[in-house]
Amino acid sequence: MSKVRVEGLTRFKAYEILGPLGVVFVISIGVGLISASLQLAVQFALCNLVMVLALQAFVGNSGVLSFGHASFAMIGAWVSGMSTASERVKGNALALEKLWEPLITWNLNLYTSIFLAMIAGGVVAAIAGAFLMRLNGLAAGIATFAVLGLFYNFFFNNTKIGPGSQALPAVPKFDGVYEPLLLAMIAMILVYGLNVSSIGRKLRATREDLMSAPALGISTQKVRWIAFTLSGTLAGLSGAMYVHVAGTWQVQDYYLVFTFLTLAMLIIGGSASMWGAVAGTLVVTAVGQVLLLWEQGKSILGLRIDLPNGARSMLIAATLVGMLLWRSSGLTQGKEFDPRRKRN
Amino acid sequence: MKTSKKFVITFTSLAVALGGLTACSSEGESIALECAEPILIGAAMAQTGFMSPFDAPALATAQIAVDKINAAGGILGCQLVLEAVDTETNPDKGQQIATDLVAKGAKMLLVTCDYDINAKSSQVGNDAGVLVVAPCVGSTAMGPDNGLDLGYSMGSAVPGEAAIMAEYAFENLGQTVTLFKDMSIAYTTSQCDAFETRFKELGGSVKSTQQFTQTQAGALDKPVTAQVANAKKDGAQVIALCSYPGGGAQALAAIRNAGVKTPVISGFGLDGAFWLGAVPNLSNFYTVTYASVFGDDPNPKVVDLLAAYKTKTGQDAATGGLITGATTIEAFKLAVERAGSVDGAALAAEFNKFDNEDLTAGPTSFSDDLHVNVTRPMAVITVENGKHRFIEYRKAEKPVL
Repeated sequence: MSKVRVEGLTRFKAYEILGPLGVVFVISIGVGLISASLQLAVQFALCNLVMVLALQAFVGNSGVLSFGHASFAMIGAWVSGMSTASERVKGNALALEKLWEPLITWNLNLYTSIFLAMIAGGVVAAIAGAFLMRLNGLAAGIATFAVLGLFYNFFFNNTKIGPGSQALPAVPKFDGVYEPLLLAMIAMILVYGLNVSSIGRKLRATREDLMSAPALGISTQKVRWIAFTLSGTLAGLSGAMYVHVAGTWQVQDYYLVFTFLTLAMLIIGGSASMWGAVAGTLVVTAVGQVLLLWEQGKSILGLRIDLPNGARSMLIAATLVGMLLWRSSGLTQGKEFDPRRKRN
Repeated sequence: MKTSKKFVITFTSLAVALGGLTACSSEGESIALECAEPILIGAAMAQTGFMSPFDAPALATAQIAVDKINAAGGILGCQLVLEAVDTETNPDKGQQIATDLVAKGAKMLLVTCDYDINAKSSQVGNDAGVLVVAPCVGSTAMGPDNGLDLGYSMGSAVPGEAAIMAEYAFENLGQTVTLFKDMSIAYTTSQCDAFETRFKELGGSVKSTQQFTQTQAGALDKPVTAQVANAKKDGAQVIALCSYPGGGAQALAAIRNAGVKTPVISGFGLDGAFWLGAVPNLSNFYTVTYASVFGDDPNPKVVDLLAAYKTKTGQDAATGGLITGATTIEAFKLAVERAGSVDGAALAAEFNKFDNEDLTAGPTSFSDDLHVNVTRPMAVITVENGKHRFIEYRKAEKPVL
């Protein structure tokens, strides 16, 4: 430990943002063209990417783990899904028998609903954050988990505002990859902007040394709260995108699997940089797709390995453990995209 | 120049196609399908995961029906191919698989036997204009009210099933009932609700409703001691048990272990013998289900299908629900022959006209608004000393819609 290395130490450099934007653009379009199901996989991956970016903005910069972000996605998805689903379905579907009358006629266009979803995610995060940002370490992680449990149970059991444990069907879908791609690229720019801003640097200062950051005049609670709110806004966007890819809203979609998958993507990629979020999402999605094909007994580029069902989830979990053990700052080592980087 | 050339080609091919069409229709009755390749039927169903006990047997009988039709020359001269990909009971995987199958040109998409699990995959098929059928969904969710104009279930749904339970119980078992309502899934709660409505309509009375839940793994959440004690105090003539194994079997065991010998009636959820180990020497138990898998079903089509199933899989059928798989393929054949087309909307239009069609699962009807059966007769089966015995096929006098 002769040299202190601070992860995610960033000043604005054009290639750090243009590089990842280019990579995401090319891969999304290229892979999306191969087949219909890969196009769907790209759409889902872009939703996950926005969620991982949201997590990176807060978790990566502050070092405080959040298990609660899926609840902001849940709310965003609910707002955007409920306001765009067809009136006939909201008025007649079996699962929506007890739906509150005004919700049936609530009708927004796609983009207004997505914007409203972001605001909803941000507002809920701001309120939750006002309380939670006083906590540190384990307590903060558990408290955010409690927030997730709270919203999950609220939606799961309340049939006046939604389908409860069942599905809200007939939510309009995105046509192709362009719309989610554009939204994901906007999210990347926002998160990179936060990372290189003074708020971002202050937040990383509190992550590196909780004791001395206040000595520099940083209010830990305030900078965390700002990042948490922005991050909640993006989580709301991620949920709204997800609901328009899935075409249905189900509360289970924004619960444990989603939470752990996106956290695994962040940690595998490297939580300290925006590029880490992008790389983690790409790698985990790509590996997942390859394993999925092998599970189904298909061959990829002539290579075929027969995997038992469920091997995919196990391998992703095992990768996460390996990553935490041997390369704890992730694939990118917490660095931003740099085309000139030497191998270390 | 390029565009005009393209236009000419399009125009000529259109003209040729139109000419072909008129030539066809002028030939008269005989409709033939164009089939350079076999008609693809895609199945995004669960071969593993908690829906697999329902999906996998239905899928196997669907394959049996496909083989049978192919051996007899196919549908209008076209062979069928059933391509099934395991969704692992995962809705997202189901959606991706459905997308793939639809892109490959599937003309019918089979989906998982639970609406909450198949919601995403059903919508994929429906949005692409492909006929979507869940062989054994038991709720009225498949259909236009859930945005599925092309979505159907070949199952016999709760409004009919629960009405049969109530009508049989009222006529044969007694006029007072205690409800044992499993709150875990929509199927069981709606079953007890519909039972209560119909039973009261007939003039019966409900002494009390005892609620319980079971975990995802299929075990009782908490012991039902208090509920059983309440039921004992009720002294009702019948107990209606709306549940499924293993929690449902555990609840039934608790009832019998407390010395309550009252007749218990249940639905498709407690069909089969595989859970009887939990309630040794069970007697005075009744289920309403699709068909008897215990060798005494009077319907020869069912008997043949069960024999074919045993030959194909080497196993005895666990529950009667599997006959809906073969029924799905039979219904598809009927609709294609009548429509002379494999277009989703045309097939749905034919499905909507179904009026007591004679299929393996029994007479099958649909309408513009109701895409599932509620008037089809179901088998009433009793258990005495741990042995199943078929009693009768019975139709709901008044489904609870």
